[in-house]
Amino acid sequence: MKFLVIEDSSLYQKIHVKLLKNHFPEAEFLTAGDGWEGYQVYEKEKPDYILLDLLMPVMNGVEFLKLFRDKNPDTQTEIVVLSADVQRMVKEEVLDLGVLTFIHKPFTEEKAEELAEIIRGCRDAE
Amino acid sequence: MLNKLQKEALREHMNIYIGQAASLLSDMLQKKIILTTPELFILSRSEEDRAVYEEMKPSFFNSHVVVSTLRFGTGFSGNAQLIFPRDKSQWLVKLILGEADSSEMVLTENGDEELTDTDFDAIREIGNVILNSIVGAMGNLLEVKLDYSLPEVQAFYYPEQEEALFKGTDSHVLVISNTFSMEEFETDGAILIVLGLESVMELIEKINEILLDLEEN
Repeated sequence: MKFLVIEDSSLYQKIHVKLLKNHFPEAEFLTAGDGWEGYQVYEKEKPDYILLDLLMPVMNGVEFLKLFRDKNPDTQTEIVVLSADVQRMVKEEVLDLGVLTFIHKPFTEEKAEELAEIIRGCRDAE
Repeated sequence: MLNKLQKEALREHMNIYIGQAASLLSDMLQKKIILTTPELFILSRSEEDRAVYEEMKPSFFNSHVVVSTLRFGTGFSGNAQLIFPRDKSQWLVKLILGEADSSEMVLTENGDEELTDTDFDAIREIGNVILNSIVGAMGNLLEVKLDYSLPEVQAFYYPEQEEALFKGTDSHVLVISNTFSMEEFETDGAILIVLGLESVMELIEKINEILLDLEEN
């Protein structure tokens, strides 16, 4: 399994990876610091799951999602949004763009456990 | 500008939003956060309001601080700031990284070391989570979608910068100030929300609607 973490804070890239590794020790983890860099990594690596921050420089998370959906209508990659934004309208906009789930920051051990359950559920259903 | 009832209603809303933000901070630091009720003032640039501000501002505003700033909105717009004393900022980072397990360890740390990129990165993310939580809740209350700038972090001597509160383009400043402590780790923190007059009026109008609804029911 391959994860791509798109997050502008390099410290939190490491924290997110560490929390996910507890549940998926065999997985490969890739990181990118903004939406545009993340898209380049996606094209090259085709990860199974993308953890996507929203507020980022160069290309934000919503712009990334629009580009991603536009260019990859048949992709199998699932996107998980991980954001500090608590606005209802933002959550609705992001969910309309087709994401697996929307998680409010901070990403904690409990939230990583919940996400791991969702991912295992997805894989069992395949 | 605000009558007693409006002020009480706005304070209660902010109290809830700050409570939610404190819960997130507790998750980040793995510490219980104890909050005080926020003080809330809408200040104009008058001498009288300046005196009120001097009276109510936390004492650490007379020292070196670290400030995270999030700018928001085009219609309802302004900026929100999370302010910590400079000498406490590094142990907040240590708590986040799980590098400080005891108060003794934290309290013996020298708080005058230079802030590293990792310190700035961690403080930026604390500001991002806390300020998004409060400002986003205000957006939800007003039913508007707010766009945010990237959060900025700066360390400076606060008295040199606070003049901007009274000399900026905004004629009114909504100041919300509260202190909090973390179990055995005592610190002060403050949240400032700076709004222009139109945005302050928009907020008051919404508060009036809520109060009217309450009266009718």
